[in-house]
Amino acid sequence: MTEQQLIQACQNRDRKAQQALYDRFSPMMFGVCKRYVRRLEDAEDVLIEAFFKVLTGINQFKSDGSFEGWIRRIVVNESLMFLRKRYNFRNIVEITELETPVSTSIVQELVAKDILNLLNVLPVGYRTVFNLYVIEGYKHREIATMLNISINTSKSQLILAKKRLRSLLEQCQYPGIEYFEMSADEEGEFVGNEP
Amino acid sequence: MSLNQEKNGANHKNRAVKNDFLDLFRQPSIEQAPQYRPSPKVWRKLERRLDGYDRWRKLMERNAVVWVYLVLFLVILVTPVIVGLLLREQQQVMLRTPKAVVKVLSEKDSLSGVRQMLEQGAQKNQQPPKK
Repeated sequence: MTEQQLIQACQNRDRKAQQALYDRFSPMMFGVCKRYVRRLEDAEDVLIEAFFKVLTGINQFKSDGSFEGWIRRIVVNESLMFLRKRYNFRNIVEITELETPVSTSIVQELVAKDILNLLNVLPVGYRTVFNLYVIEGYKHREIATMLNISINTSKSQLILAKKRLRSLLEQCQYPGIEYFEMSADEEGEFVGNEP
Repeated sequence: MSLNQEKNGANHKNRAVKNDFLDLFRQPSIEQAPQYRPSPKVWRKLERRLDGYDRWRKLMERNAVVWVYLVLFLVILVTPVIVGLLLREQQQVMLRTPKAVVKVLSEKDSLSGVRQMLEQGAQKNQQPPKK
């Protein structure tokens, strides 16, 4: 069944097609949820809520864009909604300087699982900003609006997240990480006044 | 090699490693890590929610149809009653109103007609009452 046929069948509320759509996209989207939400059960709840919105609002999807991208946006929004309910990002900024215990499995070649573990070690503020900026490609201005924080906070959270990840990778003795240095423009990213 | 060239070389190297560093977190295999697949109960929960939603939607659709029929029924029932009442009221008004006035009203756009009516009225007034 092609993607277009699957979408059409889901628009007609065909349960088998809905399950096929879920089976096709849920593993990847669960990975997206796991990037944002640490606990497995919470990630599953977010996934259920996101797919419920996808399947009940599938008529709103315009076929000129990417269907996977559309689902991904819903999943990311749902993850952020979950995090906003649980955490106040304004407060999180103040406590992120606390050290978080590192408990990653140390291996020479980092596999996907370990990378996810590294992300999970990060405090929620770092992780969320890092995911939104590096993975989803949002701008700091957009992130600031999404999380109800200032642009400078978003920038500083990203810098701190990168620093923390770098030190974690060094602990894991990731090959080549010793060559990685923060460039001057990157350090300067959070310097400056908020527009 | 000049200092600038060295600096540029180092920057290129850093940027390449920097890209590698970020690409490490961008790789799609992270999101498809098999150990993080959702458990089968997730679909069952989702299916239950979808069933509930479908039931609610059907109920709403049925309710909407019921409401439409109810409004139509009321319109069909009430319209003849209202029309009948209006006609009856109109008839009563006609009975209460003198014929001359009715005639003037119906021929009001014709001045000669009005004049004729007034003349007839005046003649009637001049005639002595019959015993």
